[in-house]
Amino acid sequence: MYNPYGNVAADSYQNQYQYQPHDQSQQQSPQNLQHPQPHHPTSFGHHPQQQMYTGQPPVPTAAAQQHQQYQQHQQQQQQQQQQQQQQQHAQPGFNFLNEPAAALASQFAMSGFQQSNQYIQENFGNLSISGDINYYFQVSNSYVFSKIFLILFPYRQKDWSRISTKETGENQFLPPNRDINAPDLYIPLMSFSTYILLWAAFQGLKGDFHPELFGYLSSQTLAFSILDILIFKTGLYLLGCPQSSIYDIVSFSSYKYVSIIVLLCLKHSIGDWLGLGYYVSVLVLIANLAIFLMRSLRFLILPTNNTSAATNSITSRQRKIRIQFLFVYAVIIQGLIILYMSK
Amino acid sequence: MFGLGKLLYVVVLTINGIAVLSEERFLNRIGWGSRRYDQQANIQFNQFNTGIAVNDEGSIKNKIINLINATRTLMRIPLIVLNIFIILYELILG
Repeated sequence: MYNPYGNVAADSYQNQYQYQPHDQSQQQSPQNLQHPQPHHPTSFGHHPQQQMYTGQPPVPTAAAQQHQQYQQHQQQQQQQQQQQQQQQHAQPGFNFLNEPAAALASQFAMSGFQQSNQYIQENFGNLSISGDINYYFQVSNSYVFSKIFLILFPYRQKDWSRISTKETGENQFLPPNRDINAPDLYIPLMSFSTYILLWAAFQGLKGDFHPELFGYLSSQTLAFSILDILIFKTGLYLLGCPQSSIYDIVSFSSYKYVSIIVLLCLKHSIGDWLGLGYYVSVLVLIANLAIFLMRSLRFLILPTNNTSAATNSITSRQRKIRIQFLFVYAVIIQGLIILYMSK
Repeated sequence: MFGLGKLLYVVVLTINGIAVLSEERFLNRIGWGSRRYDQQANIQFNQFNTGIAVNDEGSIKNKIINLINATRTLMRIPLIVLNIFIILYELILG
């Protein structure tokens, strides 16, 4: 890593950050990307190896020292001030980076790079596999029981918004074992494999079990899941919704296996005795799952009023289209998949 | 039985269907062409409709148009390779 000013600029950044713990969280990410500005400090540690690379020993001047003290008093760092400082101490012909035009150009390039980086983060960062998958498996027994109860009977729940935390940067919400409304991946994974095993077991009870059934069933179930996620992802793109994490979508689209498992058990245990009542129970379960999904997916599709009203306010017509899409997805698509998979 | 193989066929055939849409013969006639042709129509259209609702409808439509154009430009060469593979597979093993 070639740094024309040695480690000096970075050291001064760190020393300043020690005095401003509050501003650090807000200002760290943009400032670290910016071009390191020369400070010519006196008291901070100089590394002789890096001075060899730079070929420019730091020049201790009184003005620079004063400026540094001034900055430490202010605990504020403005880019404009640094520009002026740099121009005052620019030594023409000594280092081409000290010239104002070059500094301007490099800053321009840095800001452009930063913008494109941010764009990539917003649009493609969610698709990366390296997301924090650990978050989705922090479950407890009470969470699993209450979540399954919530999927099957969503009428008792009053508050459907997720609890947000301010301290952590990556995950803005509490993990599932402390928040009932948070999506997890434990229940989807377990119910996915339970569905395949249960279907094979019922086929075995009927007498036509063969081992290839596992392959067929897992392929079919996986294909339906992928189709489901594709439809939802395309809908989110077309409606211009803020792109959410892929794991959230996987999680919410896979909660339907819980309903399917309950339906399979009902059908094969007391389905003959129920008769027409079985179809009523199918409809009731689909309706319950749809209500659960619509309430839970609201925060993905419709921005909440208090937090992000300033960033993306939507008109009433847009809101209506989004609610219609939510209804079609949660009721019709999920209902058709449940009907097909529990037959 | 609907499985992963069938899903692959569905996806490939859908992308083929999007990529085969002709710009001059079909997309421009229904007003779904690329941005150049669309702006002239939009200006004329906005002269008659001065409402907020026009922008909302346009955003979904613009996104579909963008998606179609992106698919047609981006997926052309991968689709050729993929289609050749599937045709060979179907000829030999299907």
